[in-house]
Amino acid sequence: MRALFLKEFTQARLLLLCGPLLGGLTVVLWLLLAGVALLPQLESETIDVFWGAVCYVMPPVIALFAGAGLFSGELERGTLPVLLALPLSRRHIWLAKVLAGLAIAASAAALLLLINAVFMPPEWQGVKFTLFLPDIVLWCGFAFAVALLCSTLCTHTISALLVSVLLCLALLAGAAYLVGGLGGNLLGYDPFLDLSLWMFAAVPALLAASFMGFSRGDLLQSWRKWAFALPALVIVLAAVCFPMIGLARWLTRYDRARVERLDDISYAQASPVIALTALSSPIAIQRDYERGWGAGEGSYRSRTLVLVDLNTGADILTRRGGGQAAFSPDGRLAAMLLDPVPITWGGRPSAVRPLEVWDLQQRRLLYRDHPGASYEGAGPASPTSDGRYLFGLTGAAEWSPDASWLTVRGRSSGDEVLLLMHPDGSEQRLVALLAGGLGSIFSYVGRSWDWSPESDALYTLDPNGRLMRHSLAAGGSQTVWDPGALHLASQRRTAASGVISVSPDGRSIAVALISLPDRYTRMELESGFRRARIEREAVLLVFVVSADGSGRLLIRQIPAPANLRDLSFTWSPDGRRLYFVDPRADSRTLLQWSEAAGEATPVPLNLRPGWPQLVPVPEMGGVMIWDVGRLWLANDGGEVIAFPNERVRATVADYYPMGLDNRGRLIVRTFWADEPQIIAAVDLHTGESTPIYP
Amino acid sequence: MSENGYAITTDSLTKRFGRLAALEDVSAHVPRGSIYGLMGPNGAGKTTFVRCLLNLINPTRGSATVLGHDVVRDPVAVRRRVGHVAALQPLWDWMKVREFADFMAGCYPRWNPEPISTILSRVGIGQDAKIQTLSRGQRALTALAVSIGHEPDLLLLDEALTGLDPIARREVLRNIIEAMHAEGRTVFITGQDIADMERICDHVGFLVKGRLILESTLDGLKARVKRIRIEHPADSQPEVPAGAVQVERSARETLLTTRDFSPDLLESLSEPSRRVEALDLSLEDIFVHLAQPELEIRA
Repeated sequence: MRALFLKEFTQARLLLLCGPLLGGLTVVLWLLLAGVALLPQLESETIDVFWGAVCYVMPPVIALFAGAGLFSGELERGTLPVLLALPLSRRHIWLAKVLAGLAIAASAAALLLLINAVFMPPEWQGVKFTLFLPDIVLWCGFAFAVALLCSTLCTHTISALLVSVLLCLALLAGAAYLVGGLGGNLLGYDPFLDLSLWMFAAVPALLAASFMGFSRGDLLQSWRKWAFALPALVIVLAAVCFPMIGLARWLTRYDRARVERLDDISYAQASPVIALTALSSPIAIQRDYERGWGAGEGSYRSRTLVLVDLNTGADILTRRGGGQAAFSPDGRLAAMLLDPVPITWGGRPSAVRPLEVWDLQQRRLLYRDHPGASYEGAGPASPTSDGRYLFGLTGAAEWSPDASWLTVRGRSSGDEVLLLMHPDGSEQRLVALLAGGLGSIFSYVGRSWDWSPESDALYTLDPNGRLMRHSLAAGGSQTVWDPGALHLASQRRTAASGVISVSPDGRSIAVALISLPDRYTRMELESGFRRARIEREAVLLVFVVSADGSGRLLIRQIPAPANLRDLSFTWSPDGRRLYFVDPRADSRTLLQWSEAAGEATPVPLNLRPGWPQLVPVPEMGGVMIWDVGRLWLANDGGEVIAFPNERVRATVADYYPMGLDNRGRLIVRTFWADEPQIIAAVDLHTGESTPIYP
Repeated sequence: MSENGYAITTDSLTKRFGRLAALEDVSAHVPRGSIYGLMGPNGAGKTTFVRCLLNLINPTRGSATVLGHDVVRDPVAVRRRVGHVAALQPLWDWMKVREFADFMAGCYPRWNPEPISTILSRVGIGQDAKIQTLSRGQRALTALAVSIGHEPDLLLLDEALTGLDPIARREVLRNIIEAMHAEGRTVFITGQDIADMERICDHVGFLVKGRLILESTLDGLKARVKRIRIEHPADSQPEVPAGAVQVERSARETLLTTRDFSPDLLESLSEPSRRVEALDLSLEDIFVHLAQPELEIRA
């Protein structure tokens, strides 16, 4: 067997040169590209495409060449009978050839990657390359196994090679559809890794088919090889490959003990459930981790969306992959907008975010939209991190106060829309929110809809900035207030980018609008220079409008730069006071408005850089204000004082508050990513902390 | 002869390729130490038979034992003790002759390079020559020489002398086949060069359309298959005896070839008015006559 291994290795030795040759060619191309395009100005996307193509395509191609000639080459030369007449079992002959082919492929690919690694840009040399290496190994193994089977079944090397390429592409497309189209993700962390694992799972079946075809196929010229190879392929797929996939899922299952980091924690006021994305099994720690900014998401093997019962601390539901969950106010239902899954739509790589609605008490799936089903014909929204265009739903789901309706922000034909439906998916309606294009200038859009306290109506700002009331029972819409009639200033009109918030008593609605020059629409299409002027001229106007449209009051004007942040509109529990934050990036001013004052006035708080969090506390009749380690309470008299309980203040100094649970406790989480990840509930009266997670 | 006395035995060995029966119930017995020639026309199934013996292809039915080993159950043991060369055997062109010999040496537990060197030097093939530079005949000679490196107990030559010039052929016959025979080892040859077969073989078998129609020692075959010439009056045509495979008649003479010759047959054909005599046949004549599918009567 050793002699045969050496003979095979020597025979394919020319393939070893492919590694350095292709590596050298890549380096020359890279130097040319970098030189011509002046490397610093090269877009990171171009760099990723170039090195991605090099790393993902070239090694598998080498593996294809190494595998395609192993058996068909002997058949073509007529030397197979000599080989088979040697005093070696077919098992040993097959093994020696496969090992030699693998050795050649691995050596050539390693040489290629080593040469390339020297010339790669720094961001590719480190984490990216390390992360992609498992993928590359899996892809090479898959390509080699496909080529091996084709080499067993074909009578010529060239036909084996061509069929291998076609088969690889077909299986790749199938796996991509499985992962992207049907949601068959394995680890739920990286679609590419999932894709690689699906393909690699077929390797035992491909090897078994090749082995059976070779060992039972006489001289590989009759139908016998097919008769043994194909059943072996099917049987091993069913008996080994699918259980392997199950094993992979089990090994990377969600396990609290292995959770390394909590991410995307979502929580709704008074909900008995909290949702978090748990990251497990680190593959590589990014440099950011050392600097204390938190580990990158791309460095974990498992990503799971978990719903945790705050009362018992138990996991209610886990879903592979991350996402955003929203709970109905009674905590009975959860709407989860899962992380994008890749699909191919209209011939190009795209992505959609599946929406699931669960009944948490009965553990029953009420609704799941089929990716792309509801949004065919919709224009793409924002690109995802891997360069795909995201279709359909984009924002987290929100519930009406009585949990009978659900809204999810999305995109349709380029416009910002709101999908409105019952929890079971019935009576779906699209409500236009914002005309397409504005989002590209004003990065913050905000929440431009809200519910009436009785859940009988939905208030929205339409694309013309009008405050609309959509009656949910009757189905009609009416204009509550049209700011266009204001004539605030000459050559200005109010535009569609804005935020609203309905007071708890339903009598008043806070409305923030961005006012733009008349020429806005035309000028938007022009150069960046003009755009900058528009930004200077934009103004944010904050109104309080009566819910019946009878009155409106301008309570604040704020110059509006492009990068507006959330105003964090927060009503006091009695609906008489409104608190909000100056949204400019360089300002940390907290503003307070009351019916009596007429105009919003700054609250004298020296807020630190960082984003103030505002949480209404019905039990105390006020609003809790948090700012990186400090806690205040705006009481029912409108006075802002340090939070009364010292232990609570001490806890908040180290932990990040997220809101109140249904028992009035403050939910806090670990602030820094490199500390042990803890979620706890803090009693606001006693200051006592109760760990919830893990 | 006991089972151990045979280098090769097959029992109803059958190989079908779809509907085509390449071998049909072949029960052959090759004595140890013999030089056995398997003859047959093109497409008779000789190569299929050899490939079955090496388990290169699986028999459809029946069994075969080579040197005491079942070819299906223990093919590696068979191949370890058997040398095999096929007609115009392709080799790995990129190798040198020495590399080819070294590769083969690495595959067998024992190896004796001396006879290889001797034969190759006699026929003028340098061991550093690349195989792709050798002529067809030189490649066949190389394969033949290397096939005895592991000192096989049985040499299977599947039309391996095809393409050899007379000098090379003589070299092979003398230095490989006769040398092996002298050492008590078995040589199994298939081919159509009957003159060579007649010269070296002591056992022969005739394979026609996948069936082994005859198997015998060469001497026994020649004694059994004879031509009988009968001179007779025009009105006294002799009857064709059982076992006759070919009959030629003229007015006063009948020539018949029988595969069951015996003195009794001559006596039964004798009459006072007839003159009967038995004529010896060459192996080629025997082959031609026996390869005919049916009794042929020519006037």
